[in-house]
Amino acid sequence: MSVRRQLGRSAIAVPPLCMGTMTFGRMVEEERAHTLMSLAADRGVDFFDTGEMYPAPAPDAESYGRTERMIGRWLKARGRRDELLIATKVVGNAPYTAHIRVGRNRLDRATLRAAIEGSLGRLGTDYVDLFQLHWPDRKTNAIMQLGYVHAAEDDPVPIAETLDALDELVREGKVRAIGLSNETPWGVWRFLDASERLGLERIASVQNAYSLLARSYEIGLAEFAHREDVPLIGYQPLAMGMLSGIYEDGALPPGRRLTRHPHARYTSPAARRATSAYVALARAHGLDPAEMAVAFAASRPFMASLIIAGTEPAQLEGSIAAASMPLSAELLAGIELIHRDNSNPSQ
Amino acid sequence: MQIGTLGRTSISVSRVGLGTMMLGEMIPPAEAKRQLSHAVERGINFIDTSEMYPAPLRPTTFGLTETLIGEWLSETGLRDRLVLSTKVVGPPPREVIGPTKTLAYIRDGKTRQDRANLRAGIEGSLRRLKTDYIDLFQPHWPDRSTNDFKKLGYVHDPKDRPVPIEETLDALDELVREGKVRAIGVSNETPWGLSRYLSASERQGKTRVATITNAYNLLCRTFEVGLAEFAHREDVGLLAYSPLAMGVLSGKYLDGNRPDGARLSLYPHPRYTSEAAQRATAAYAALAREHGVSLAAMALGFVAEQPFLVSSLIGASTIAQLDADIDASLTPLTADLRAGIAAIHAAISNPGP
Repeated sequence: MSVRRQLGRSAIAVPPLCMGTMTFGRMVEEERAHTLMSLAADRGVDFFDTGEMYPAPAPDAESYGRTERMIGRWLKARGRRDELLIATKVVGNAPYTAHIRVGRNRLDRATLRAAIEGSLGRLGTDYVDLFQLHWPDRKTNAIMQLGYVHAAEDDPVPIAETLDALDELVREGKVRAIGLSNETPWGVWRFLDASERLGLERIASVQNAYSLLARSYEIGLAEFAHREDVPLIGYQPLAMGMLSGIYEDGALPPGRRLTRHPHARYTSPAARRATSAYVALARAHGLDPAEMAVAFAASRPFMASLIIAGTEPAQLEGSIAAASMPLSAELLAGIELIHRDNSNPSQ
Repeated sequence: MQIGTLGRTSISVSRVGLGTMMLGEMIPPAEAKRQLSHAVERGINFIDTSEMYPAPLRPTTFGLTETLIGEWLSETGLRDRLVLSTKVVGPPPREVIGPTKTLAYIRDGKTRQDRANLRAGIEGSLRRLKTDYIDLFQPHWPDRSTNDFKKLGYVHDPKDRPVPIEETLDALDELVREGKVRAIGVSNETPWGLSRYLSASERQGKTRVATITNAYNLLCRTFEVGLAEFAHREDVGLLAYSPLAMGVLSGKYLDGNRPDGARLSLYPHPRYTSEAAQRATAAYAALAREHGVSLAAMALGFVAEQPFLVSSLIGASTIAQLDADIDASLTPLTADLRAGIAAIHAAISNPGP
């Protein structure tokens, strides 16, 4: 984990991998979570991504903030806060966030301030390195929807207003850099344009889903990454575990993510067909399918940092090893063939 | 026919526009002029061309389509009733499909999207079209290396040194101020390129891009991923080209068929004939059959009813086909048909980017 990349034009240099914490407090209990975080930090994965909403799946009032509290206790026990990078996210307006701030989650000044204060309190820190909008305020097609469908507007908070509130948090020292998540080209552009016009903080990154099954980022956003220095923080490189091959032929291994919490995102017939093709390709090249999936995502030139997760130390070790594993030209050509044949079955 | 406007201009165009890429080559001059007149009789007021047409591209026929349209305009006196769109070529692409394999014959390959090229482009087009203004003028493709044709994902080329979009826009704006051009558009563009144009217009008070001419059809719906949101939120609607995917969505090339005289038989092109595209085409053909409509009619109806669309640019080889294509474009799909299309798209998205 020696080669760090600058996160956009911010002052933050991130390692190629970032530890995702979404399941801490749901699938992963606290002691294990702390073990995994210590292992990650020791191995150079000193970048942790969380969200006020976590744990997930199934966020609810009772679990709200639990993951951040767990991380806070680990930070307190470990100390040396300044050696670590902590990213978190403020939720947006959605049916499944009705339990947060009595459902007042439009991305306006009040929401952003309440969210950062809450996150800082739970994390037991006086700043976060990266503060992200978990999803846009407006209706869009960033999650589980390939094409944009225009909806009668729900009067979204103007992006300039959201940005101004984020900028204020940076100036107060509560936040070092700001980022977007589950965003589209239009949203990224509007944030960049507002920064330039109004002289406000610039977004440093976009955190979107990216995996062999979900590469729609490349269609419109990769060009922004390169030309505007707004790189990707890719999440779910294993597509909720599908790309490890453990769910092949409809298998549902006990205790695993999709067995316990079924999810439609990566399990459509087209996604299963593509998954089988990638699993077979990896095996034909003598590779573990999960390692191929991580190696592929981590090697993308627009990727600043790839979010890895795992419930076992061995999974984490595997992902860390895979991230620096070179893929042969032949293997990459094989991946492109499958992609051409069955592109973006998931979003 | 239903009418839409070009962006935030006051220019109104018919929901179906006439694409003219084949006029002058596959469609001989006399027939081409009959087709133009027939299109107008059917309520089409929008004619889209380019300095480089007809296809296939060759030095000896460069500008021929515009010349034909120009003759027809002066013969019929219809100029003022029509909305005329043309395009100026950009830097020669690395790969050109067609007999010459190059576009370096156009202005000796000096076709970066800079002031000199744009001026040379518009002057030539005005002369050939025998008019003193163009309603919509567009760079045919971006100056920079991007994922515009046949490439689904963007791959960055760090060696690329494109003409800044601000400079291209400034040159376009100048043509508007001189009265040579009424509105400007982009073509084969991506979200990043479009956003740069819009930002530059806003900041420098320059003419705003009114439309985007990109490929859009059942096999190529990438516009929906990143650009449809711009269409709705920024009023930069789509002018859809290849609504029938070069005729592939007529179904006539299924099972490897190459009928005599058909476009892809005469001029093979890989864009819509990959294995995945063939599989998707077969699935759409079966769906259309199931619903008792022709594949072509379903494909055209699908494009023309999209909410982000301003005009669907159809091209036909006969008057009868033109009529059928116009009728199909003006016929909304049933909810069942839409659901069937959504299911196929979910299984095979964008096999022909």
